Amino acid sequence: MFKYVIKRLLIAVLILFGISVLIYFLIRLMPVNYIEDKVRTQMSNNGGISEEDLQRMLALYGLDDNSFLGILKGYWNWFTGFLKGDLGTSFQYNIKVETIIKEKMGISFGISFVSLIIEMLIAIPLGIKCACNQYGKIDYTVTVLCMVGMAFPSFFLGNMFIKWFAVDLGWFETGGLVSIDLPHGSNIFVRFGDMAWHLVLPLFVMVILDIGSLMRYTRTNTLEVLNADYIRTARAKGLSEGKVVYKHVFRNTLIPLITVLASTLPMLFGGAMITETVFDIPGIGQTAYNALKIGDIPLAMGYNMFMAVLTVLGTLLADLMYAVVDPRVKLAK
Amino acid sequence: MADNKTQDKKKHYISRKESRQIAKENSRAIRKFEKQKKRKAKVEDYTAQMNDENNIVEFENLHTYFFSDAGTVKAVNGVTFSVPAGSTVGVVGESGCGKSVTSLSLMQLVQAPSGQIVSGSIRFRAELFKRDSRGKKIPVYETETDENGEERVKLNSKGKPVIKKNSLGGNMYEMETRVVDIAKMPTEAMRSIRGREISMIFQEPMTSLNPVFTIGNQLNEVGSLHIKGLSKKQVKARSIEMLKLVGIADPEGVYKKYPHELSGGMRQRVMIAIALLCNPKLIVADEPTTALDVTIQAQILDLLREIKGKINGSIMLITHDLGVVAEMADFVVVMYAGKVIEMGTAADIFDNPLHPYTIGLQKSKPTVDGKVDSLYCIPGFVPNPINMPDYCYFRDRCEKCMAKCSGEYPELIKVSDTHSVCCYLYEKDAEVKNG
Repeated sequence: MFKYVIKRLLIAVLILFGISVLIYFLIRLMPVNYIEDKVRTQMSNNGGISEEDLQRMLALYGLDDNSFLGILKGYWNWFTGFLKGDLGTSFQYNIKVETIIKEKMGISFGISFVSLIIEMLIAIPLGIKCACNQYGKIDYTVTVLCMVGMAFPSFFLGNMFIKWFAVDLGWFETGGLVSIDLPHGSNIFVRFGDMAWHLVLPLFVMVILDIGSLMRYTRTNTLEVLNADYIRTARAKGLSEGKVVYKHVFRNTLIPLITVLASTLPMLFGGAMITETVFDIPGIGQTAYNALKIGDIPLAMGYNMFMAVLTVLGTLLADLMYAVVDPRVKLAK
Repeated sequence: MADNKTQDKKKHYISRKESRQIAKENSRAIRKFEKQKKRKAKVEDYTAQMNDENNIVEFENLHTYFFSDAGTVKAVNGVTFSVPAGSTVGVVGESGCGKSVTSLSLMQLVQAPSGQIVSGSIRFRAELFKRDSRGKKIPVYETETDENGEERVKLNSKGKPVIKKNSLGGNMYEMETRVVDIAKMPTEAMRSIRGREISMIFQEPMTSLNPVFTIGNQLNEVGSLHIKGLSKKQVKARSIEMLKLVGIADPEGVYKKYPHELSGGMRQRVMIAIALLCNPKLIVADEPTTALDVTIQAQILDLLREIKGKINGSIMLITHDLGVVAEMADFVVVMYAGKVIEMGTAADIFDNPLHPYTIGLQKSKPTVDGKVDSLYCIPGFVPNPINMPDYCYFRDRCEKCMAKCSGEYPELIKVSDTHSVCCYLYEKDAEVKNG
């Protein structure tokens, strides 16, 4: 087991190196340049900045040479910093990338975690229920509703919710995390309640968008297990249907489910980019989205590497969980 | 030619209209039968009468259908036979002849919702718990004689009455022997018969045990479900005793193992141990040796025979292996395309097979002394299970086919007290015999 984990981690290092090269080149090749955009704005405002100053600025940030070798040099600079544990300084915020990620991660994790819990609580029992009543009324209704939920783009559903529930009905806030009229110095419960109130709509959107796939996955797996020979054996023993489903079927359905859930780890910390943007929640997703949009290379790099590490760890966790829930799986070598 | 083609198409394809019609009828039929299985019924509603008191199970005109998208498959189509108490009945037939579905019908385990017992009856002599007016089981209390010489209920140290223990060490309840019709029984009531009165051994030991639970867990489940009042330790002891009984050398070790750590033969032994745990009166063995190699086959058959003597029960043995039947069975039932075509004692079937199909089966079996270039093979195929013809299903493959065979399906004809056959060839013999 220990040996297996070490081996996987060593492979992970190689994978992460490849990913970092790929991401850096892709980001550098994007047709957006933060420094140039900023300086040119100042130039048009007649800030007394000349074309030469622009070139100097670009050279200072290492963005002057967009040839292959130039990008490689830029990567090398980033990479040596990364090895020293330095992800660089964000162009737009002018603070360390680590600090930004650390700061913004909390709220994103909170939202994603709560939505994942709600999803699991709804989708798994629903999936099992549907599988047990295959082609029944419940099955068709739930399936259609889930498909509808899955089919919505998040920005569309988010904006519709804002229109209906925040603008027309006025039940919730249109976005953000804190009300403008919240009295200064309110106690923690009031502040928390206010924040929770702001998060109802985004949570709703996230749950509706993701519940379908988890429900369908549970349903398919449950159906597969329900037709297995050992379920017939369990029934032949005289066990009640509840015991058959929630002991014998569920334990077997859990095996693929656990792996799927373990691989949602990057999503959990990485934030929901589009939903956060639509609802203007200052989470890591929105921050990364903005960084990519304006070409804040260190922050975008930092965020993407963070996601890559989480993804690698998530798959490792999924594989380890496999061995925990399925006695047939042995992690050898 | 073109005409032929359209006809061919008609035979194999169903139009959208027909398909919709089938789906509609299927869902109506399935809903009806599912409702019947889920209904709440009194014991009296499904109590029946045995034709012969010596039998433990009687199948009568059983029909089990599968409502498929292509039409209704009559997997079991009017099966009548019985299992006498204390005997082994072998049900033989080729794949798809309905022998497994017959046995699954007996357990109410036909793959629902498409598979349903449509009509007929399966009468089973069951030991049921007597229930009081509130539907609770009535315990039997231990009694003692007090100082006045009068009998009274024994009380334990807490002042509660002590429940008598039965032969398995569990609580004793008042029981009643009642003949029930399993075809009419709600699933809820059936659950107390499954595993306790009738248990089943399946043909695939490799997949019939749940891969994520230990052998011990899967054995204990039955003990704690059906034998009430056992402590965890006692349940475990019973499980280990059963593992020992089925000839597992290291029962304590196997108890802790997972199914994938055992060989096929070992797993089948575990399946038998699970089946035997509550001393059932009837064991249904659905091709118990098909997936095993020949040496293990022999061991498992020996084990079944040995156990039958020990628990004093009956065995219904489903197989397509004539050798297994010859070795094990007292009575043999030959099935073909969902119907019983011949039945009798093992001697009747093996020494004096009557139905052309049975004769064909016997001929197609390799023998030790006979030297042949190639084995005999019955010509043709089993008819399509959807839209069965109304004449004898074997007519198109039969070498002794007569004009009469195109008429309606022949009745089961008694040729001797024990031997019956379903063929027009023997109509005259029977008439002569019966006067």
